[in-house]
Amino acid sequence: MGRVRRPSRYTGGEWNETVKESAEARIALAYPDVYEVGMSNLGLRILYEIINDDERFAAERVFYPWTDMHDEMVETGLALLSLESRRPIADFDVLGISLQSELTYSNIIGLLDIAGIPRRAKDRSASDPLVVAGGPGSFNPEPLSPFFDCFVIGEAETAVIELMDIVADGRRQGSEKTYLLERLAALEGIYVPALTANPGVYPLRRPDGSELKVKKRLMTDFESTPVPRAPVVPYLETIHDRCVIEVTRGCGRGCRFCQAGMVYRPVRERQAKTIVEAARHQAQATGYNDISLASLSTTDHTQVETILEGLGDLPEALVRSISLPSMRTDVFSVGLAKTIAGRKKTGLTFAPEAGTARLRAVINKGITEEDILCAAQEAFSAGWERLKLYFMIGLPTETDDDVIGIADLTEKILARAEDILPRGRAKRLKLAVSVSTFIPKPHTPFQWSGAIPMAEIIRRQSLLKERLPKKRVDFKWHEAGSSLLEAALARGDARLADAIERAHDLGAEFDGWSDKFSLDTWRRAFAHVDLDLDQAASKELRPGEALPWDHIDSGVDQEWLRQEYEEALRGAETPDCRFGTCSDCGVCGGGVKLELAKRDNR
Amino acid sequence: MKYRVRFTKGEAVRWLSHLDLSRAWNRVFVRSGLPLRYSEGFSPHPKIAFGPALALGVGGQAEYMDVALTEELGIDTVIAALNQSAPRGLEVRAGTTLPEGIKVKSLAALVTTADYRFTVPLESQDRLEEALTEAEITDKKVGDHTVSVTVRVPIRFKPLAAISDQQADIRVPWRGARVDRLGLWVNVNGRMLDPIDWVRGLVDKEL
Repeated sequence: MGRVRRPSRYTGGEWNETVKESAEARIALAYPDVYEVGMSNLGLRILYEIINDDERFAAERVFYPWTDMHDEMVETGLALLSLESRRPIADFDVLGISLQSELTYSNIIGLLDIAGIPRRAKDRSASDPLVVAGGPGSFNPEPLSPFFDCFVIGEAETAVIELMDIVADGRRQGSEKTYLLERLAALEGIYVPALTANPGVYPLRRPDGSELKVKKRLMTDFESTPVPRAPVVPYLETIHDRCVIEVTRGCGRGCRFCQAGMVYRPVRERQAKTIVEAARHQAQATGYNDISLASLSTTDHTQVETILEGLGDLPEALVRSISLPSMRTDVFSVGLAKTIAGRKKTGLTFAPEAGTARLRAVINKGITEEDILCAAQEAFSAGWERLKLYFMIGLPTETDDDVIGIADLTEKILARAEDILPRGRAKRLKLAVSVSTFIPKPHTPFQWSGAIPMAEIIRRQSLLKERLPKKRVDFKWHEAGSSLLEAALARGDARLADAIERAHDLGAEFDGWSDKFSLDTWRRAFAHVDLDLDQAASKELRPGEALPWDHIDSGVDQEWLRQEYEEALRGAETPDCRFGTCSDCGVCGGGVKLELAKRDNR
Repeated sequence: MKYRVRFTKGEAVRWLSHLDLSRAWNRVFVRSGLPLRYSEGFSPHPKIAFGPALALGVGGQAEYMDVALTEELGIDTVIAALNQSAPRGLEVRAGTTLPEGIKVKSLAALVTTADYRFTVPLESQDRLEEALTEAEITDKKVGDHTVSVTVRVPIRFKPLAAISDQQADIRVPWRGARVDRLGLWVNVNGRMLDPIDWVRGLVDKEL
């Protein structure tokens, strides 16, 4: 321990950790990145508590060891252990891996290796752990399909208990693995790659020849879906080191690039009262007195003012700060931010995403330049001196005018500040302009579109560097290489599994960490299996052609996505179904419906 | 009201840095419901002050902290509330209220001397004693495979200060050494008092 950095990544024993002596079935919940990143994941917090609340089952945690620990483990032959009971991961009944980003895929191979578990599902027997995936990555499981026994598609709160039930049952009866997989495949929302007649050929078919469709899991009664009461409290400072209360699931804005906004439909809000009570409970149980209200667009919650008032009425010892990690860019939201900011105004984030009104209509962002300027003006007059602005380059139909539009908009915001602020304050102003590259994601209207090629990413970034005002602007951009890899993996099919495995063997690890990432390694890995990474990232798909994720049913109609793509190319906007008319995306029906906390919304 | 308490940094939390430890105590206070006093100013922080920092990897059997609360509570109530909310390895063993109306020196300013115990494999014994030539060896125990040496050193004694800052800086080149701090002392004219006894002496006007 004395030889590795931050040893408390590996020691466990934190407050609220659950250690169970005996259980009918044990699951190791894994996050294929380092402890501080994994411990911030809300999904794992939720599942850890739901599973451990069931007296029959035990959930423990494991994260990917940092390179120094990894080297030690390889050198000394130390097995990968869970944090709770310090059991070897290979001794668990289930290993559940969270898929949050394509840039953790090479670590998944590494995780299986150091756990001593065969990489491929077909090489594992009933005595090996069942290796299960969940999280947003499951919406295109194909690139990882040979490595997993099954994928949980969508919201796993109830599915995970059903899965544990089947595993415990199988253990009692000494079931064959095939029988176990058949029972799992019968559950809603579970995809078992081994039970397909034509792996790697799309559309996938069941052994009986019928077309495979796996419908996503969804919590229809979100109000009663448990909010973590007592999450584990890390000693190390993690990325989201605070209470996190999920206020809304799903988003109705319909931004056409946003996968979460499509696959977690429909919008379901929790009641203000439930949220405030959950926050009080979690603060008392953890000792965190910073509260973050999580969702895809928190200021859209129909009772957001009531929530903030309620939190404001809690004892100051429990609520010292409140944060709204995702807020809409408008005066209303800035007004809310003002009420919770207190005296110290650290920073405010706006996400116009695109620089011109034309392109914002294409992506269905639904905010005008005047919205942005007024929101900024409101923020400046309320005392903020730092604004963060998020944009994307490479969006479908983007021209140089749109790229330059980002610089122009930034300039207009600065000019607005100079108009209204006294000279002294205007001088202190800082705009952090953060520009990422658009990555087409499955189950979105832009799934058919390609990412822009490497040279183009770099050219547009330089164009921005040239055009953005130098004074008072901090320009940050995403590395072109890792964006390209993300794009290549996101829409990939089962052929990519070999490339992922190869990349790991060539040394790819921690691809999300820019000092560890090597595009060259990945290009070689793709080439090894006769694929071209750059082409995979940029390929345009024809509407109508079979997609590798056609068997995953997010509830949103493919036909609606195609319409949205066409509307996008025409620059036509689609209203948010919460406030405007329903555009019939297909997700509602059969018990699934929009659930707003307040009926007569704004 | 201000309090001084003695606590352990036990096995389960040995690998925390000083910063991690202080954050962990902040959370213990919030969970305990004790009315912490916060500082004034732009970013208020709880009024908790520790003794000399303990390095990551070094355990502590008698560490100290001073804390200010907004209400007057009995020391036993404070200790019980903290222990109910403290994670494994952190345990409050004793405490005292600090007298009001008298300026009580901070732990950092007060503590002059520390006891450390080094436990190393037997074969490293010579090198250990060599490295500790300037320290006062108060106790030595030889087991089957290890030797335990307890030393008393001035807190700002250079080579050992390095130990308490960062274990990696230890001048003794061995692996697998285990370092624990057994106690902190206030030197009052040659008499060694622990920081809680020192407060009692202050109150009884002995000092």
